[in-house]
Amino acid sequence: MSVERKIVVVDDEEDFCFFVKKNLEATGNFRVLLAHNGEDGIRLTRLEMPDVVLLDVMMPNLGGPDVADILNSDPKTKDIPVIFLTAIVTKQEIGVEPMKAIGGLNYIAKPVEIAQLVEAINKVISK
Amino acid sequence: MEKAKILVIDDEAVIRQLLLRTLSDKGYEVEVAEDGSRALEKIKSNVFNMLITDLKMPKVSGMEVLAEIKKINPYVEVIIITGYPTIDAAVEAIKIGAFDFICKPFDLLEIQTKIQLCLERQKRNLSHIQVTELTALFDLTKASILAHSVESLWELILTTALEVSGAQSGSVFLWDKQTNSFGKKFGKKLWEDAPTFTLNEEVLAKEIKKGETQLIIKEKDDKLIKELLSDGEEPNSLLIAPLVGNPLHCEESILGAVVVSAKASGDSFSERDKMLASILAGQAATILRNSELYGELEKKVEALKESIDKLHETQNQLIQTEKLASVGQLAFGIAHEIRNPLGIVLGGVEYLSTIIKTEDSDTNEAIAKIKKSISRANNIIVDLLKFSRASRLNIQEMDVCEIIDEVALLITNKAYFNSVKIEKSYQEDPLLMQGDVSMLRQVFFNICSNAVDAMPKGGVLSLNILKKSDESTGEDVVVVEIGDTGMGMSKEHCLRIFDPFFTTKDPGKGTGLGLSIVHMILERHDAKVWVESEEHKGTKFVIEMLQNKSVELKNKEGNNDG
Repeated sequence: MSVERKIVVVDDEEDFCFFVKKNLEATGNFRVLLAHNGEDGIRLTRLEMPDVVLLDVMMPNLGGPDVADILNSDPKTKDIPVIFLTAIVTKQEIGVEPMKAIGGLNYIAKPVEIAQLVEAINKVISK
Repeated sequence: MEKAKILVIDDEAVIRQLLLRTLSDKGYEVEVAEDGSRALEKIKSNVFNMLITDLKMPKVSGMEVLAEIKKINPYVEVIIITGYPTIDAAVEAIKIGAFDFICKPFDLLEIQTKIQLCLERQKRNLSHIQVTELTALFDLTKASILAHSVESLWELILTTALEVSGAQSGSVFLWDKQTNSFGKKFGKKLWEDAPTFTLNEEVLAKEIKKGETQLIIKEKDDKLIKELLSDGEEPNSLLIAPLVGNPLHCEESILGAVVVSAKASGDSFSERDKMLASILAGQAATILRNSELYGELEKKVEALKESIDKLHETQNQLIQTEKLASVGQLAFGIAHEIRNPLGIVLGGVEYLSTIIKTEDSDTNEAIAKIKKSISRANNIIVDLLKFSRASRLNIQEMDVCEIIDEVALLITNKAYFNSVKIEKSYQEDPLLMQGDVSMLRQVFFNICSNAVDAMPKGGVLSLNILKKSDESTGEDVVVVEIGDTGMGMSKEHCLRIFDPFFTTKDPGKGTGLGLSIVHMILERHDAKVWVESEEHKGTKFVIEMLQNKSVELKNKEGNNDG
């Protein structure tokens, strides 16, 4: 039995968050905390210091790339890996080349199967 | 009616006086000459309808006078009077062209009757000849309207010249203003073995610069004939008719010349032929001048047509690019709106299947079917995104000034109706750079079109092109600034201006895609675009593009699809 990993999910689609939480927690390997806007997401991350942050790209006010920038510029949170979750993973949305966005950026397009998501999370954690 | 003019030639004073008095009384205008040489002098300075001549005279005989006069004016009628009639003389006189033959002593009544008959015949002949000649000249005008090329016009002019002058052969020489000499020439002969003559073009050029139609008769102008015909056979007479565009400036407006030679009858050309040739030349010059003007007009119409075609083509291209880009923008919009719910559905199904955890094959099959359908819906979105990116950039060297000019032209009408003035300022023109012409045209058009819309009460659309070097990389950057003096925008609007479906226009007026297309295209060019706006003052779009980029970089697709 592996260690339970702490995941913060930041997405304004509350229903999406709900099922991500349910499905990840159902694997028994993760504990999932939810935030529905960028500001809350930063606060929650600083507070909880999760193993991985799952970040939606398009959110009102503070978008995913901005949240990632802020986390990255904070010495406390800069080493927490981020995985972008987005309906369209395009350069246009993120504003810069996806792979360049944040150190070792990963992104996953919605809709995503839970197995895929788990795989991506494990991959960034093992790094 | 004009009086008929009669010249009486006789060495006997009595007969001269008798005829002078009798014929004057009858209403004719009569002149007398006492011998052949005097008669010839008078013939050269006067036009007579008719000659009454004695046959036997000192110096120049009546027969010689007859031959001579027919050369000068073939339509003069001649009656011969003689005291020594012989059949041979009579036959010869008629052959040369005398109308009748009267023996001395003559009856005054007889001679009056003959004069009357003779003049009537002349009138009939002349009117017939005039009709024929006029018809030929008229035909020239008529046919010139149908002529399809300048060459066919020249051919027509030459044919008419041969017809009215009765010549067997002739040539037209086209004047070439550039070389100040004759250029093309056409020759024509009425039949295969008609004599042709080679003309010395330098001498001919000198002659036509005088601007007048010339009748050159070998006997009189032997020297000129010899100069004109450098070698070979010489005709007994020539007609040279210069074609002059503007008679006030002969030398400058020479179009060419018509030269005819060798009258079919074997005679020399007459003064009358010269007059007809001169009329023909005047008419031909007008026709040619008209055809030249018409040609110029046609060229202008052709050029206009071309630019209209180009404009249409550009418009079509714009529509095409706009369509593709619209599909792209729509795809992005739809992708976002559909993939999120799909994500929820997928998450939900997976959650349910975890909870149910059943071995029931029907339930598991149902879950699989739902997942499959989600994937199917998602694939449609992926395809749509791929399609919108299918049109790869066609990068080539292009002149950014030319594109801005085209856009300005396309927007002219719209600007006019909004009372918008277009001001252009190019730091360099042309300014070559690498880019996709139709895509960038779309960018500038969309921005300009918005700018004009922002000025419903008029204003200035300024189009500036500058060049600078990038501060950090030192690369050459082309900067295009498109500014309006319209109502400006709030900061909030500025931030959202490139978002798909964002529009400040009334419903139905804008799709909200125009500027997001601009953004997409410029991004694919690795170009920067931003807006500077002040409310009530105006808005300025600034576009910075690298002047020389590697084609590879520009052609890469800017997106990664997840």
